Amino acid sequence: MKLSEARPGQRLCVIGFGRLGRAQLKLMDLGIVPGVEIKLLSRFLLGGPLLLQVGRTHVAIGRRIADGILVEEVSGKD
Amino acid sequence: MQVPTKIALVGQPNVGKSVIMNNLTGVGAVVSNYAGTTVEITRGYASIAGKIVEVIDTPGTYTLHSDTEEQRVTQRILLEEDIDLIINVIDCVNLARSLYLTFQLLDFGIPMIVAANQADRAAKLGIIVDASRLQEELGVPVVLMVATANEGTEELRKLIRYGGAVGRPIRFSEMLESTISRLEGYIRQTTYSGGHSSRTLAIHLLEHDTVDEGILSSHPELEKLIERLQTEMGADDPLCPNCFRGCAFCPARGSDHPVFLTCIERTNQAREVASRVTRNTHRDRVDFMERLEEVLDHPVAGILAMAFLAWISFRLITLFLGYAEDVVEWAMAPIGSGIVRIVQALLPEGALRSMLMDSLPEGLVIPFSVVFPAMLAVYVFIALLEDTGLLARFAVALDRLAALFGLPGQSVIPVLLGFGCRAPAVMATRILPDRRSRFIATALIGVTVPCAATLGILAGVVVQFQANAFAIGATIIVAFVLIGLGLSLLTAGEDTPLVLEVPPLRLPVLRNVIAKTAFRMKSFFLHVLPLLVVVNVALRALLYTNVLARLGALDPVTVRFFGVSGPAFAGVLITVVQRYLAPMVLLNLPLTAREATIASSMVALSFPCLPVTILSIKELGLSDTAKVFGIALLAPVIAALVLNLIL
Repeated sequence: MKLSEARPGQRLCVIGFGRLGRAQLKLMDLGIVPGVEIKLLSRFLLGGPLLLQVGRTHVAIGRRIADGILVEEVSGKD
Repeated sequence: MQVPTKIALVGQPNVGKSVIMNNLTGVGAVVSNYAGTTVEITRGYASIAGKIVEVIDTPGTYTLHSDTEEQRVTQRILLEEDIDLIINVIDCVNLARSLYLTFQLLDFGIPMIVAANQADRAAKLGIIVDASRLQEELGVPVVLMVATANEGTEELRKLIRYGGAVGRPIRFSEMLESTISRLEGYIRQTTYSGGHSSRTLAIHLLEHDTVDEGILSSHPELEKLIERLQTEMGADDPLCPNCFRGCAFCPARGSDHPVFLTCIERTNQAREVASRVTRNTHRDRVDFMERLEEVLDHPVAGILAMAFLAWISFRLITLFLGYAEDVVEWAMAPIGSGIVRIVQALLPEGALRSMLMDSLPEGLVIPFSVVFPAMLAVYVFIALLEDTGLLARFAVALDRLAALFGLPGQSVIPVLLGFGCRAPAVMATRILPDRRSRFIATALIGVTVPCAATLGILAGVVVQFQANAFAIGATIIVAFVLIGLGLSLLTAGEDTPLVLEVPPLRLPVLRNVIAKTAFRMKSFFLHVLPLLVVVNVALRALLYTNVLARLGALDPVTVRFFGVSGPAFAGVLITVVQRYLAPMVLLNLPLTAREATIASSMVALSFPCLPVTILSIKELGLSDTAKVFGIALLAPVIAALVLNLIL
C-alpha cells in the first residue's frame, strides 16, 4: 500500500518508491530506503504532512511524497 | 607527530558540529559566504600543540551528492582547500544515518577523525556506542563526545595532534565494484585533475551526480570518458544507458536505478556497522520530554498546544515590552541629555545647533528605547524555539496553511525572524527549497511583515494620534493573505513537498540562546544605527527648512484619494530608506486620528528598507527584487484607497 494510506501507530517496512524524482534522494538521505522499518506517528489534518519515526529520528513528509512511498505492514510489537 | 594545518568539520544537520567548532576555536570565528555561493561557512583558529590550525565548519549536509548548494560547497572545501584533516561529527543516537556520510567521506582519501557526539543522550536512550570497535570498522580514530558539556574536547585535541588516519572506504557488491573499477580505469586514461580520486569520481558517475553539476563542463578532458561510457558500457552494467548526463534527477526512474543501488548498499552497510558497534542496554523510562513530544506530535492536541504556546509567547513579549521601554528610556535619558550638552558646548547658537540637538539624541536613543527591547524579545523567542526543537514542529503544523501561499512549512522561520529585523529574515529564506518559495517569502517579508523597529515606532504614532490600531493590524493581515494568495496563483511551478527532520524536543541551552541572540542583534546595530543617525539629521533638516510643509500643495490630490495630507504622503515615501523613519516624520506632523490610521497602514505595507533591498538583490537577483518593489508600491496605495473609502 501507499504510506499515505497507513494508520498512525502502524509499523511499516518500506518496499519501494513511486515516481518521486529528486525528492527520493532526500528521503534516502534521511535513511528511508527499501527494507527499512518505519513507524507512522501521526497524520496532520486536512491533507497535512505525515510524521514518521525512522530509526531514532522523526521525519515529517508531505502528503504527496507519502503517496510515492510503498510500504507493507510489519507484524509484531515494539 | 604531524599536526595538520587545515581542518574541515563535516557532519549532518543537528549533530552538534558548531558546538564542537566553538569548543575548539573559542571566540573569534568568522562567518562568511563561501565564495560565489549563498552558503555560510565559519572559519576559526584552534591552537593545537602550540601550533595555530585553521578550522572550517562546513554547512551541515546529510550526504555528499551535488543536489544542494550545501553539498556542493562541502565537496568544494574538501577538494580545493588543501584540507589535511577531516573531523567527521556523527550522532551516536542516529549512528546508522550518520555513517552514511562517513562512508562518503572515506572515499575522499583525506585523513580523518570521527567525533561521535551526543553520547549522553544515546546512553539515556539505551544505546552504548563502542568507540574502539567503530575505530576498527572505519580505520580512523574515534572519540566519544558530549560537546554541549565540553566532554571529549581534550581527547579530540590530542587526536588532532596526530593528524587522524586515512580510513578504509566501504566495498560495494561485486556487480557494482566491477563497474567501479572499469570506470576508474577509464578515468585514469583521461587527464582529469579535478581533485576527486578516480574511485570517488567513478562512484559519482555511477550516481549520475557530478555529471550533471558542471564538473564535465569545467573538465573537458572527461568528454571522451562519457563517449566511451556510452559506447562500451553493456547492459549488465548498473548504468542507465540513456542518461549519462542531464537526467540524474529524472522522475521516470525506478528504484533500481544505479544511483539508488549505491545509496541502498551504502545505507545497508551503515546499518550493519552501526548494529555491530552498538550495544543496547535497558533504556531509562520514557522521560517527560518524550511524553511532551507525543502530545505535540498529535494532529489535534499538538496544534492546540502550539497555538496556546504562540499566544503565551505573544503575551509575554508584549508584557516585556511594556516594562522594558520605560526602563531603557530611563537608562538612556542621561545619554540623550549628555549629547545635547556636548552639542551646546561645541556649536554656536542657531538653526544648526537646535537641529542637531533634536536629531542626534533622537537618532541614537530611539533605536535603543523602541527597537532594542522589541528586537531582543523577538530574537530570544526565536532562539528558544530553535533550541528546543519547537520551531521545526511549528513548520510541520503550519505546512498545510503555508501551502496556500505557495510556501513550505519551513517559511515560518524567515517570516518570524522578520518580526525582529527583516534583513536576517531575507537571508533566512535560503533554507527554503526552491526559487519560487524564496521569492514569495521575500515579497511577503519585504512588504507586509513589520519589523520590531517599525512596530515600535508605529505604536508611538498610534498613541500620539489615537489612531485605530485594529484597522492597521487588519490591513497588515489582509495584505499578507492577499499578496500570498496572489503570488501563489501568479507564479508558476509546483510547490516542493516537505521532507524535514524534526529534531527531538529538549530543554534550551542558555549559552546557545544567548549566542544566537547576540549574533543577530550585533549585526543590526552595527549596520543600521549609523544610518539611522544620519537620516534623522537629514529629516530634521527637511523639517527646519520647511520643505515638508511645502508639500501641502499636494493636499488636494492626496486627501481626495488617500485621505492623508501631502506631507504625510511624502513621509510614507521615506520608507525607501528605512521603513521606521516614516513614522518619525508622521510624529512631527499635525494629523487627525483618521489620517494617522491611514498613513500608518501605508507605512506598515511600504517599501523594504535599504538593507533588505540589498539582500534581496543578492538572494533573488535584480528582476525579482524589482517585482517585490512593484508590489511594495501598489500595496500601500491600494490599502490607502480602500481605507479612505471604508473608514
